[in-house]
Formats: sequence, structure tokens, C-alpha cells
Amino acid sequence: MSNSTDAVIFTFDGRSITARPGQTIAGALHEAGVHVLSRSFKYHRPRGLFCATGRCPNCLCTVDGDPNVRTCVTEATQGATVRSQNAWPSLKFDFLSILDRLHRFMPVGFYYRVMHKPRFLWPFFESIVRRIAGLGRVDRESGGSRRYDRQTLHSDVVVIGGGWAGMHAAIEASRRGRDVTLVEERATLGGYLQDDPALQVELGDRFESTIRSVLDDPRIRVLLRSNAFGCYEDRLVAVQSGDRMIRLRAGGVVIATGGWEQPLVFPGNDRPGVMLASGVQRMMWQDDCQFFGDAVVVTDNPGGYLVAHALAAVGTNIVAVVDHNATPATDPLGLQDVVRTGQTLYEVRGRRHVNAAVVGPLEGPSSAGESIACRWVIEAVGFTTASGLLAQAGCRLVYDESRDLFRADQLVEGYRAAGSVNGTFDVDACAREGRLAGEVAAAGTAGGAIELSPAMTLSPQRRPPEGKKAFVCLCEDVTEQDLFDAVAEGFANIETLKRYSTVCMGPCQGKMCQAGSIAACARANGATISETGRTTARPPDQPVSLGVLAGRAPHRHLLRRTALHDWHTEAGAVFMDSGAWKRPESYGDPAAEYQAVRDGVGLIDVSTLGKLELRGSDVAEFLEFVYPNRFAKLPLGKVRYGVLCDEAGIIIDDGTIARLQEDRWFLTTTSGNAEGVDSWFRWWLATRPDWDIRLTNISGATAAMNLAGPLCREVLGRVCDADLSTDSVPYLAARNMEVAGVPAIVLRIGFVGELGYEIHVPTHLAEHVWRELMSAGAAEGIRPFGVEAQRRLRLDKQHLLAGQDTDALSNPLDAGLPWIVKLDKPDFVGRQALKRASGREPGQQLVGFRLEGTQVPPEPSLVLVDGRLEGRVTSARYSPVAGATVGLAWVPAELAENGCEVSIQIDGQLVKAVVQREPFYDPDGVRLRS
Amino acid sequence: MGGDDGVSLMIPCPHCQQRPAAEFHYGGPVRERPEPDAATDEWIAYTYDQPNRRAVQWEWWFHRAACREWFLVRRDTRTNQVLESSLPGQSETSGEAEGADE
Repeated sequence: MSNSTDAVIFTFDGRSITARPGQTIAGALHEAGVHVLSRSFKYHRPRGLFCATGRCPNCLCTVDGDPNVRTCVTEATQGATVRSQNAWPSLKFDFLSILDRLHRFMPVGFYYRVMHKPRFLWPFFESIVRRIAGLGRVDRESGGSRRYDRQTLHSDVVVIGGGWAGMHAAIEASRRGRDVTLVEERATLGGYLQDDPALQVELGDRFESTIRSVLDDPRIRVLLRSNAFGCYEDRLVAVQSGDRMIRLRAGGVVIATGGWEQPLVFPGNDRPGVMLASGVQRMMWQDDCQFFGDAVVVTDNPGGYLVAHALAAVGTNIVAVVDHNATPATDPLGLQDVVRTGQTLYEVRGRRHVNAAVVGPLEGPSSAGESIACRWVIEAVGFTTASGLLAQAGCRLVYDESRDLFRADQLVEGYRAAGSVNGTFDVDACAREGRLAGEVAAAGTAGGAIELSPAMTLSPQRRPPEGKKAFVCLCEDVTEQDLFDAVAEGFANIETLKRYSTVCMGPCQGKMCQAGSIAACARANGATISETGRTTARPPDQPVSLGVLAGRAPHRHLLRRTALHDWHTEAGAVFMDSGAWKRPESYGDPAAEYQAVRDGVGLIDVSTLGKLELRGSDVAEFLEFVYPNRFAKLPLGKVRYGVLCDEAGIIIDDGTIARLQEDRWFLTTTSGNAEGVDSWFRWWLATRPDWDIRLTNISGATAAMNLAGPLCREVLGRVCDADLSTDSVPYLAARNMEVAGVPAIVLRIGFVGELGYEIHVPTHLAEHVWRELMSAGAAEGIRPFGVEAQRRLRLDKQHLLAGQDTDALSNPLDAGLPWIVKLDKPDFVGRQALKRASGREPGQQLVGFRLEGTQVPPEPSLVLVDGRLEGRVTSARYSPVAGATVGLAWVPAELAENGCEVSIQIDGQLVKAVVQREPFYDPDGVRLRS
Repeated sequence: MGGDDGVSLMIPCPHCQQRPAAEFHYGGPVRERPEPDAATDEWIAYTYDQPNRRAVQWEWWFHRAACREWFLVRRDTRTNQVLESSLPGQSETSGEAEGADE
């Protein structure tokens, strides 16, 4: 309840309505005499408050742009704009209410038969259905400012439901030293008791003091206005709390979700004025509402009598108490004149509002009905259990005939149930079950069977409704006749019946209609309720907004920067995304950077490479096994190119393998694939715990830079004391040496086709080394070069980029690397597949090509032969040294020889290309080996 | 991304104890790699066919988001119940499935 004492004024469809502070929207509308709140989904029948506890769809309105708000449980706020839904042009005169009169043409499942035969009709019907389906409308303009949050909480014990049983469970678990989270969907604790002052009087100040104990307990975290909508594996409870999703991981769960009062099914049972007793009670006590006029109360238990008394005390004229039992369920206490025993409701009449109820003997024919003029019809015919979460958790539910409800009888580990969810309605029994559940949950012991408290006596006798408009499902406008028709059509199983008739598939998700649909299905099949069973319960148990499920957008993106990022930025780098990495694409002039490497010296940051260190006496054997080429006898101080394949012989990565010492190896992988290769290697090592191998991923700890160009030896020599002559450090040498005073691993390899050194240093010293190299090369006009220049340089040499020039079907034989597959090795990963591939007719081959003209094909482009699609271009650039546009492409094997011609499609035009298998620059690698 | 989306199952990593399944990568059931000279059909089955059993089985899991170690888990695929976990080479973790109905 709000603290303000001022009246709250809001508008409903433009009309100004006054509410008391803390009053619900629906309560204020009721007092203002507004009793039609919505139009039903299919037939657009007028609907008013029914359950008044947030469980049926009748009071759904759009509040301040939010569709489908349950106004019966939503407090009115000052200045709110409340609009009715699903009615045009107005709630009072809804055009589509003619559908109610056309119901004969819209039997259950009619759209399956009518709207798509013949098929061309469907788009027409679809556009109509889309316009009229649904209840509220989503305001697409306003969504942007909502903030959806996620929160993860852990708790020893989670209690779902803050009613009498739930509160006792929480207190008991806390008393035993556990931390507890209590999840309650209403704004206050107390559950059903809040709406039942008679029970509160019976409890004395125990009611208030129990609530106080829970709220004051430092070990109990109370989540109010929070809906637990799913129980997932390993006791993860999903909770929606406003715009926040809480993932609650529990050691033990107590489900004390209580139950829902159930409706009676009879013709006219959806008319405004027909209400559930618990809803009437809530409106009387929480919203201070009164129900003026004549009222008929239908009941089969003492609860109906209590409601009748309560209503009579505040001015309602009770004209009949219709009791299913042969003798009154309890002492009528002043109402005996209007009690009718052994009778029930046959029908309710009226259109916009109830104006009469027809009552008669339980077993009598419809002609035995007597019409009683009235304004309100109040039903108090029993509860069902809110056991959806128990079912989701995997607990077995059985139909309890004596209580006429489904309840759990076998619990799964970690779950307990307490209170009305077990079919227990006696307050002391609920408290006892709650305490026991709290104790067991705190101890962390297993589930097992439930010990039940004795049931209260009920008479579950119902009279099957006669007549057409007896609604089982208020949300989807499914009548009992619809269910019978569907069963007759062959949808006799409860699961198919639900899907075909859409019963239980609306906003209430079965709260009001599941029991009724099971009863109807059972009757239609001549089966028992146990035999009929329930549909599988799945999350969400309550409607959840997609925003809450999605969380905050945009999602976090991983961003990786090298140690030299700031230097690149200051040098004017234009950055590109390479996976999660930010890399310099160029420093403004890729052509000049390219030329510097060809003619002078350039420096590129290749810290994004993966780097792995392997140590141990069995590394050589391991590498020999995991690569298709040879490594067992790789001499010390040498580095070799390697291509990793999977068991299907497909290239998964390429890189270099260096042997620095007998038992110490240093490997590089392609940028961004360090984790992949690391996990691949680790798996193989896990299958051989006998191997003496230690693998460390030093990608992050190690930075790398490539100094390349004909003049780079002099530059390196200025910061390095080692002998760099080609005799000491030949092509494909791997050395430990100090560069700029920093211990480094230097690999003499040539991805870009020039004399070059790949220098690996600790990350925290990278900037120092880089700066030293840049100033050492000032005289030679050293330039930093970026990824674009590197791409052009490597393409001159036809060096492939794994992942760009190869894909998930490329093996090394076809990718131009047959020499790397050593089939004479007894065993290696992928050997079988590659052996078979080598024996087959080759498919497409990766080859170099030259283009006529100046156009550069985009990556990728199509390769056509005689007008047929026969391959694709994977890389292409203009090459200054070749004087033409060059690239790599997959072409048919018979055209994979020098001089063969293919066509490449560029901008819709075909351009002639000639295959060239030798590198476009320095084919003999003289520059590399200089 | 992993971390907190969509998965609730807990996996008992031998190094890190119970962690949400989203932190891991599933590596498939334990299988024996055929001999290098085994028949082609055996190799094709090993490379391309992943067994998909309703049974209790040992399977590989990789703790991608934390210790980055491969380990073995014994799980009942029918109920998704994780029964135990083990480091490679520590217990009897064969490729035979218990109570399999194919």
C-alpha cells in the first residue's frame, strides 16, 4: 500500500477514474461502475473481473504503453493512461463481437480446415489473422529506454512462495543456519491469508509476527513482486523480478506455491459479474471494494459461506447460497433462509453483465432450473495446486481423488513441497509442512515421498454443463463442446487435445483451465482423470517478457589489443577487426608500406599469433604424430612450416614449429587460433597421460614483430650483438638471442617473401623493443606496415592464409601442399583420410592466377568455365612486381596447370584469368635466403 | 560468450569443482581410435559417425573458460545426470556404455 493519502487519478479509455492510494486499477474501475474490462480473444465477448487475483485474462489492459497488464493486481499510479485491448472502435461497441454470433462457423480448429484450402487463400487469411490475433499491442516506439538486468544469486535454500507454509519453511531453514532466499509474487507476504480476515483472526498476532520474523531475519533474503518461472537442472531457479532476471542457484528448493481457486464450467460462465470467491475477498480486503446488489453464491465447502457472510456484512444482498452438498457444508449462521442444498448452477444469463442465475438440483434436467435475478454470481468450489514448478523439476504428480487435485507424490533430490501445493489447506498443517520442508532442505537430504496431512472433506461432484457457451478456457475462448468435438475428431490424448484446441495455451497457461480441460477430456473418453493425465509442464510457468529473457543489449564484445596498440594509434594506424583483435590495416599508405618491405625494411606487429611452448622428452614423438610432415628429427635451432589436419585430413591451422633445445619447442599458430590449437593438442595429450610433455599457451605473454626487407639485417644488427650472417643464422633458423637487451626468440622465416626475422619477446617489453628497432632503422627509412601490405606481399609468393584460402573441405593435397603429407609415416592424425584422398581423382585445386585488365575481383568471387560455376577466388590484389592483378583460386583439377584459362566474374562481367603455379615474385626464393 | 546464458547443468571439473556447463566444451563420448591399418569402414565410422546413445557413458569435457584441461565425465544421457568425473588415466573410463539401448 502506498503511503500517500492523496487520491490517484488515471484515465481508462479517456475517462477519468479516481482511485484510493494503493488501490488496484481494476478495483478503482469496479468502484467507478466499469465492469466490462476487455473483449475475449476469439469471440470478442465482453469480459469483466473473474479471478481478481492475477490468474485469468479478463482484466488485461494496456497501461502506459505496456500491453497485457493484469490490472487486478496492479496498483493505480497518478496520471496513468489505461487502455482497453482487443476492441474496436470501443470496448462497449466492438465491431468484432459479431464473431460471437458466428461461432457456428468457427468450431475448434476451424482454421486448419478453412484458411488454406486452396493454398492461395492463406496469405489473405494470414494478413487478417495477424491483425486481429493477440490481445494487447506492442508499442514499437517506446521500447528503447527499458533496461533489462541480469543477476545471479546463490542460496543454500530457496523457498518459492511467501505464504504460511513458505514463511515457516524459510524461518526453519534460517534457524538451522542456512541462508535462505524467499521468492514471492505479490507485493506483500502472507499468501492466501492476506485475503482471508477470518483466518487472520483465528491466528491472532501469529500472522503479523511471522511476517515480521521473516522480514527481520538477516539470513532470509526476501524477493517480493518476483515470479519464479522455471526450475532447471541442478536446482537453478529462474525468477522474473520487474525488468530483472534473477538466476538463483539453490542448494535445496522448497516449493510452497499454493494453489488457484478453480471455476465452475456452465453456459454463460464468462459473463461480467461471475467471480471467484477468493477474488471477491481480495477486492473487499485489499481494495476496499463493495459489491452492491443481489448475489448468488455457489459452493461445496465452508469457504463459500464465509464469503457470503463477509459480503452480507458490507451491504450485498445474498439471495441464494447454492450448496452442492446434500446438507450445508457448515453452519449457515443467519443465511439458512437462502441456502439451497443439493443444487448447482445450470446457467447464467445476461450479456454485458449477469442479470440472472439459473439453479437447480445437481442431477436434474435443465427444465428443473429456476431463474434467480441477481447481479453477482460467486463461485467457491475448490482449489487446484500450483504444481507446475514441481513437474518441471521432475517430481511425479498424481491425481488425488479425495482432494480432486494433482499433487506431487514422489519428489526429486533437492526439492521439497509444503502447504496448499500438496493439497493441504489447514493452516496448522501448512505451518507444520513448511517447518518440515525447511528442516529437510537445510539438512540437504534427498527428496523421497511426501507425508500428507489429512484432507478436508470435499464433494467433487460437478454437473456436466449443457449448452454451447460453457467456457473451459477463458484465454482462448475454448468451450467444453469444443473439447468434446476435438476428441471426437481424434485428438483424444490430452497432449494433442491441448495443441489442437489451444486450451491452456493462453496467458493463464492453464491456471484456470487445466483442471477443467482434463475433466472434459476424461469425460469425452469415458476415462478417469488419472488415466487422462496432465500435459508436460515446461518453463516458463508464468508469462515472461522477452526483454527479461534477453537481458541487456548490446551484449559485451570481447576486444583484444596488442601491447603496441597505443604506438599504432599515435602513428596514425587505420585499425581493422581481425576476430576479436584490433590490428593496423595500414598506417595510411599501404602501397608505400608494401614498397618499403620490397626495397628497404618494414616492421609489422604480429603479436596476434598464437604461441605455444612444449617441453618434455616426448614432444618430438607427439609432433610427429599430430602433424602430417616430419618433426621427430628436426635439428636443434631449426624452424619448420607445419599444417595441422584433423582425422578427416582437413586443414585446421598452419604455423611454424621451432626446436630451440632437445626438449624445448616453440610453436606459432595463426592469429586468433591459439585457443583452438591449444585445446586440440591438450586433448591428444589427455589421451596419453604416459607422455612426458608439458604444454603452455604463452600467446598473451609473448609479443611478436616481423622485421622484413633486404636491408633488415643491418637494422637488426644495430640492436643485437649476435652474428646475423647467413651462415650463422640461415633461412629457417631458430635462435635465442638478445634483441635491444631483451631475451628473444628469433625465427628467420619469410611469409612476405623477403629476408626477415620474426622476433618474439615478453609482452611487457614489446614496446621497448619496437621503438629500438624503429629508431635503429631510421637511416634505412624503416616503415611500420599493416595487415593490408602484408596480404599483398604474401600473395606475390602465393603463401596461403588458412581460413581465407582454405575452408572446411580443404586438405593439403588439394591446397597446393602435397609435399607436406608424408604418407610413409606409420601413423599421424588424418593419415587414413589423406591416403584415401591421394588415391582418388583430385577435386578442385588451389592455384595462383593472373588477370587481364585492371579490375580486382572481390574476395570471394566466382570462377566459371564455359558458363558453369567451377570454383572460387579466395584472395586477389594488384601486384606491382607482377604488373598485374594476381590471386589464389580453387579451380577444377584439369585446369590446374600453367597457362590454363578460366573466367572470373567481376561485377557481372566475365574476365579472363590464366593459371600460374609459380610465385609471382622471386620464384626460387633467392631473396628469402639472402 | 558462454558464462551465463541458457545452460543450467553443473559439471564437476576435477580441478575447479562444480561449474556451469556453459564454461565447458563437450568433446563427445570416449571412443577407441582404430589401429592405423584398420579397415576403411572402421576409420570412416570413427571420423564421421558420432555415437548418440541413451546410456550411462564416459565422455570428454574441456574446461574452456577456466583451467583448460580435458577430463572425463560419466553421465547418464537419458536423465542428464552427471554421476562422476575423473582425470584421464585415473579410473576405468572405457568407451563401453552401460545400459545402452541403441
